Amino acid sequence: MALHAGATRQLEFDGSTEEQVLARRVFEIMTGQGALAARDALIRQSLENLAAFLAAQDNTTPEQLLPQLDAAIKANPSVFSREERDGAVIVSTSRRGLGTGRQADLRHTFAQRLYEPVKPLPIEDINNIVTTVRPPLTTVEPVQISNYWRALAGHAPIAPDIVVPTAETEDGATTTDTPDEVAPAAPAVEAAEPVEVRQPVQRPAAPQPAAVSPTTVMLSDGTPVDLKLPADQLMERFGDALRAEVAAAFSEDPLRRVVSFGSQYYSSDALPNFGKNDLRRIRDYIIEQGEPMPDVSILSDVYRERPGTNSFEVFRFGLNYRLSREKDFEFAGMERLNLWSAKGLPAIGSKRVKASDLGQFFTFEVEGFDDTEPSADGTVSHYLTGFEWEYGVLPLSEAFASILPQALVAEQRSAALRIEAPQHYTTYLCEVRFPTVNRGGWIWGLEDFFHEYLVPGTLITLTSTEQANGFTISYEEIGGVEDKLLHLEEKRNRFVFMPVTYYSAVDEDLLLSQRRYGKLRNLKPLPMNDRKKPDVLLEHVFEAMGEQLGTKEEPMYWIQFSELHLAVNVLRPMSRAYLEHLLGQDPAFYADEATVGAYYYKPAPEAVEADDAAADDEDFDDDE
Amino acid sequence: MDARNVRIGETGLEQLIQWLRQSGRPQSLEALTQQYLVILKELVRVEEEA
Repeated sequence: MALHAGATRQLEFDGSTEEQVLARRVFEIMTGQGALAARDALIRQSLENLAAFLAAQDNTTPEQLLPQLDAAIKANPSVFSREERDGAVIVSTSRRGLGTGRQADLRHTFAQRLYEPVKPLPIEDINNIVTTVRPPLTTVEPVQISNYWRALAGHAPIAPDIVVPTAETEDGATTTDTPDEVAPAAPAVEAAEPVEVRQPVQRPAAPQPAAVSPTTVMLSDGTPVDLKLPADQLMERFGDALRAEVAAAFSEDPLRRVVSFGSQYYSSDALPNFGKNDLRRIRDYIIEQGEPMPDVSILSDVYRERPGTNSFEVFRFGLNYRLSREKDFEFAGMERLNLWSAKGLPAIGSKRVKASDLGQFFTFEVEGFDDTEPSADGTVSHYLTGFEWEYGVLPLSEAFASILPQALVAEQRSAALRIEAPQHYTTYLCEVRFPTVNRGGWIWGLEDFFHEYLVPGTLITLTSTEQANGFTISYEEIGGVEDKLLHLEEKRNRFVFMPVTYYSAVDEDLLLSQRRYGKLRNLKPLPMNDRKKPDVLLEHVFEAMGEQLGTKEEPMYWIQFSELHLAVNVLRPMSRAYLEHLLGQDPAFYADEATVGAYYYKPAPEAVEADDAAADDEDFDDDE
Repeated sequence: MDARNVRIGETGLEQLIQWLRQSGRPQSLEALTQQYLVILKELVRVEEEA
């Protein structure tokens, strides 16, 4: 028997010989018509059309052929299905020769698999079984837990439109409680699964206090908040937690519908668009200005957007948010002043010392060895050390940090400051580097000011102004004083005393003068890496500055703590607390019990070589 | 709405975002939190009256 291409079953037709021939012809016509249909998809045709087609081929009339054709169809009910619609007879068959179509297999659906795993894990807490699907509209549907999990956890299944987060536990609740809308084939699958074997852990219902009023909501940490209370009272009592909840909701929103910059939030889809061309223009503008620029200046100079217009604040927020996501821009601002630095802008601060070195030098600040107190009046006074004077830096101690701006955005590295010296009508562009977890912070950019007007030992006063990044620096001026002060000869990499006339009031104990601390000349400008090693540094300072009380074979050095602190701070910044900590850690250093504030250093004995002896002879003494 | 059905950070968040958009300018976290409280209070009260 000839079969239509694609047919896989040898069909046998019933009826008389004529009916069999007719039935086969009908089948071939219909499967030819549905050649591209699935093998089990129903192909439909009206009996009238079939009769007209066959009659045209047989040179007869459809009316004559119609009864024979109908009889042939009726004689083969397994191949053809026949139904009457509005007086017309519709014949159906499929390419595989069956009059019935495909039956939907509902025994194991994808949707079912999502909610009913093959090997479900035991449930310890129904609260863990929460989908992350968010409803498109906010409805009374806070907890979306399928009945499958509810049944496993021993909770009563609920109707989909009534979702209660803490349904009462029913004893003996089983999978037979599944609602009616579950697909008919589902129970068979459930029965095959070891659901009944895995008895749900019968835990008490979620701690839902019965006395909680219907106006009490629970925060994520379980704190009850009664919404009946006035808003002011709620903010006062739960403000921090509520703010954290709102901030977390926005940050965890997968659609990122609300974005933030600093403490401001706005809808992301309402922000202006800044393209690459915009970013290039902004960057060119900042570089042209030569220093970090405020967002307001960028908007007014580049975009002619003036403060006060309706769209200005949105435009401003959009600019800040966009720049914060660009690696070519760095935020260098603070609260009330959004400053932006751009790649290619000259670096602020000294080029003679690396930021990474300074960060490590000032680590003692974050390790708890800061011995300053926060300022209450916006003013901080500080004696300049040799290192600070040399490189134009100041420590970001607790005192300075209390008057300087704080980081506004996460991972902010620095903030640009303008420090004015009113005594000289000069302003310096400085930078505060914020501390990290294991690196201290500092202020730099005052190298020119220090070298021009001050000497180590000067008491400087830094005062905040009304401007967010504006500060003034001042000192007490005096008549000129000539003295020989320590100076670093960088070309020859050594310390020397040079005659200097200075005009700032100093603490004589902290002035690096030859008449007071002649031995400072013995200090060597150690490489920065060596200065980071406390033991190397202290040993060197003891040997250079201390009095040698031992022998050449067994040397022992003695020094006053204040002198040691002064000399150490020529080579690197170090607080008194940190220095005391270091001295207490190494048994080679120990306090002189006979003299308050004096320390000994007794190095481990080692063979003295001729070269060392010669080098010792070159040391200078105070008397020189 | 029964307050027990309120999930902080989810319930009423859509209204809060809508309010933020309609305000026409960026808002501080403080202002957003206060408005969120207003929305939650309204949601709970609506259910009580129904």
